[in-house]
Amino acid sequence: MFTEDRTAFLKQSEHAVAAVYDAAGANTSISVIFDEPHLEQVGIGGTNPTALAEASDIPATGSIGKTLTISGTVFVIRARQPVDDGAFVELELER
Amino acid sequence: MADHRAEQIVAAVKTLVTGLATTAANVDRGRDDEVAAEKTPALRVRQGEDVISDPWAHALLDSDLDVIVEALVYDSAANVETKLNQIRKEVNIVLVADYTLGLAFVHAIVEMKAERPQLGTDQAKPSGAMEMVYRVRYRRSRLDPSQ
Repeated sequence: MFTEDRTAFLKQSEHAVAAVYDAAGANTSISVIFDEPHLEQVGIGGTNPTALAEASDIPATGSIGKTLTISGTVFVIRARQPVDDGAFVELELER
Repeated sequence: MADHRAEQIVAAVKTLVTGLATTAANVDRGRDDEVAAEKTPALRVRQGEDVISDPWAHALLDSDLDVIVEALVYDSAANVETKLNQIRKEVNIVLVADYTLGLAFVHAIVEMKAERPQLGTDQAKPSGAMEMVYRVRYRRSRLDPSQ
C-alpha cells in the first residue's frame, strides 16, 4: 500500500514554520504553514490567521481552545477543519 | 453663512461623542470604508433620513433628522457584545445630557433604536458592530435652512 510522506509539504526550510501546540499541556513541536491575510468584516480591517498542519499533530477532539505558538505569538485554536481527505487540517486562529 | 441646520446637528453629535472613555478620539464621520483594527474601539457618525413633518407649513418647517452612531469593536479581552453595550451607554449618556445638543433650534434628541449587533467570524480577534439610531427634531426656515 502506498504510504504518503507528508513531511515534504511542511518543510521548515521551505514555506513551513515551527510551532508549538498546546504549550501549557502537550507542548508538541510541529510544523505548520502559517498565513495571516487581511480580512475586513463588520467594517473593521483586521486579519485572518490560519495554520495548515498535519491532522495527526492536532487531536481531532480537545484541540479547540488550546494554543498554537508561532514565532512567540500565542494563538488560540478556534476551529479545526479537515482539508480534502483529512490528512491535513486548517486551524482557524485567534490572538 | 451658517451651515444647513442638519449639518450643524450632525457635527454637534460628532463633537459630543468624541472623547468618550471607551472610544476616545477614534471617531469619524461620513465614511463607509473599513476602520483599521488598531483604530478600534471606534465610532462612526452618519447622517440619516431627514423628514419634514409638514412640508406645507408656511415660514417655518419642523423636521426629523436621523443620526446614526455606529460602534465598532475588535477585542479578545472582553466580550464584544458587552463592549458594544458599554459604548452604547456612554454614547447615550452624552447625547441626552442636553436634549437640545446645545443648539437653540433643536427641540429634542431621542433614542430610536439599536440594531442587532453584527459579529465578525474569522478575524484574529472577535469583532462586532452596532448601529444606534437617534432622531433629532429641529426647526428651520423654509427659505434658508441655515436659519
